[in-house]
Amino acid sequence: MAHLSSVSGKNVAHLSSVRRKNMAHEEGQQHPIKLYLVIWGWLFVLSTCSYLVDFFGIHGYLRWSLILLFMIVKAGLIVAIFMHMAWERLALMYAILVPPGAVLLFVAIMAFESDYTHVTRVLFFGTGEPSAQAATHEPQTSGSGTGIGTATTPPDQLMKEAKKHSLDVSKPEVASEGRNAARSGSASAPKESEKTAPASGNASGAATVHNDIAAAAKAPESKFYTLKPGDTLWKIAEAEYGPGHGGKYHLIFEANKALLSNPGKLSPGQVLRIPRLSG
Amino acid sequence: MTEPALTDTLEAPAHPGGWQGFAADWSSDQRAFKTATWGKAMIWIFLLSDTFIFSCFLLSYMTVRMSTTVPWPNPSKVFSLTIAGKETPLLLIAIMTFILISSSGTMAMAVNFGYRRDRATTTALMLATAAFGASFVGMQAFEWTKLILEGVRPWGNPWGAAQFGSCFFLITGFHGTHVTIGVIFLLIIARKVWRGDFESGRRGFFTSRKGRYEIVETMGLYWHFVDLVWVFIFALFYLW
Repeated sequence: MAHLSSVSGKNVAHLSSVRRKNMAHEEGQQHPIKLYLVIWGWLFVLSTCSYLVDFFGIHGYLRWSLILLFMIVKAGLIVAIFMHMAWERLALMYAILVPPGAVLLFVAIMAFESDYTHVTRVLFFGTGEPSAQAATHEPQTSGSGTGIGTATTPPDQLMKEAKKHSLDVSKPEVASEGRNAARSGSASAPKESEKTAPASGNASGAATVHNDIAAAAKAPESKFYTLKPGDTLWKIAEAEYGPGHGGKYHLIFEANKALLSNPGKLSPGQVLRIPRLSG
Repeated sequence: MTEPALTDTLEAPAHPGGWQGFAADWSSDQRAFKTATWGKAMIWIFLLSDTFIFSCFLLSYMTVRMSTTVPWPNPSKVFSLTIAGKETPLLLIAIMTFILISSSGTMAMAVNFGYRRDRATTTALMLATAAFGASFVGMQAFEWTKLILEGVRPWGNPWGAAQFGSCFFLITGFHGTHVTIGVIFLLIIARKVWRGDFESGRRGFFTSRKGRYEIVETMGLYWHFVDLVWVFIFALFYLW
């Protein structure tokens, strides 16, 4: 840094000499090529520094202040020397450099606003943690079934859950056996039966799901996966289909579209169907 | 009586510097930019307006990133390249940064050689700048392809907050468009310099005005601005 200040000191001395020369020259900006090469070198050094901040994984306030410092010094060198702003009259300098200052005020306003939005979202939608997840669930009027420790899941709750996902479950006979929800009956298509399974798994309280719906056509069996905090579809795809197959996360998303509105929006405790890879 | 005053104004007027000069320039009821030509003043005002556009993009990126409750994808991981089995964070972005800085260096020297009326060197340096710019755009196309194949969309991605994709495509896409337009204009101006349009006073195709070597500096101002914007994108989007 001490080195940098000595260089900029030299530049200032150079600037004033050039300004004097400039008065005599009618034609444009005349500076020695060496000046541009020196600035070029410094831009390389500064870019390397800001890259190293990431490479060495510096975190917290040190990271942010270093990133901002290198950014501002680089921007200053480009504007002052490469864009010749240092040799312009103050009238032009202020006309161009002062208005972006208004952006800083805008940044402050929006930072305040987004902080408020974030707080509001955490308060009303939760952070995706299991405890917050329960709060976002539809309130159940039956009084039982929402708690973790409840013994039975009322059949009508499963029906409700199925209806919520607009699934066609014709004449289902739902029997509750402790915390296991068993379903029988005939679903109209194998696809529907696969959809109802994760849906009933998500009716709270059901830890395991026995799916003995007689599907009209035998579809390849699917696995089920209960989301843990920190899971992403990419990670699950990598784990289930093997490393390098994370790109197939969209298959999992497609298979669970009834539950997921967005591949980035997962809640711990949700049960996802993992479709078999065909071929 | 009025004679001395007249000759005084006919000579090149000496403009005072500093705050006094600033006040005099802006209050003179004449052109405010005494030494800058209209071309330079206009490109600076254009760049100022472009600054506001990019500022708004980066600001909306800040707003969505600060307000989302879903974790933001880690750019260091997202943009890493695996070379020979070793994962290097942000490697491609670092290379792109160095390329754009190098293109700014060659452009600055092209402006200098333009004012020296060294046509061959100016053309060569402008073509080098254009080549750097084109390779930058090529790498960006590679990066986009990689991310799209990994499932990043403007409405979602496999790693976290859905807004990541929309911010990424909007900001880098708009910047890439600027680089592309810059490359096209670099080639046009380089051809004019090479042909000697600014020596012979040949009239331009669009404005049918005679060009001067100042147009190389105007081009340079645009190009350095594109580099400048990348400095901010690199710091705020990729490193933050």
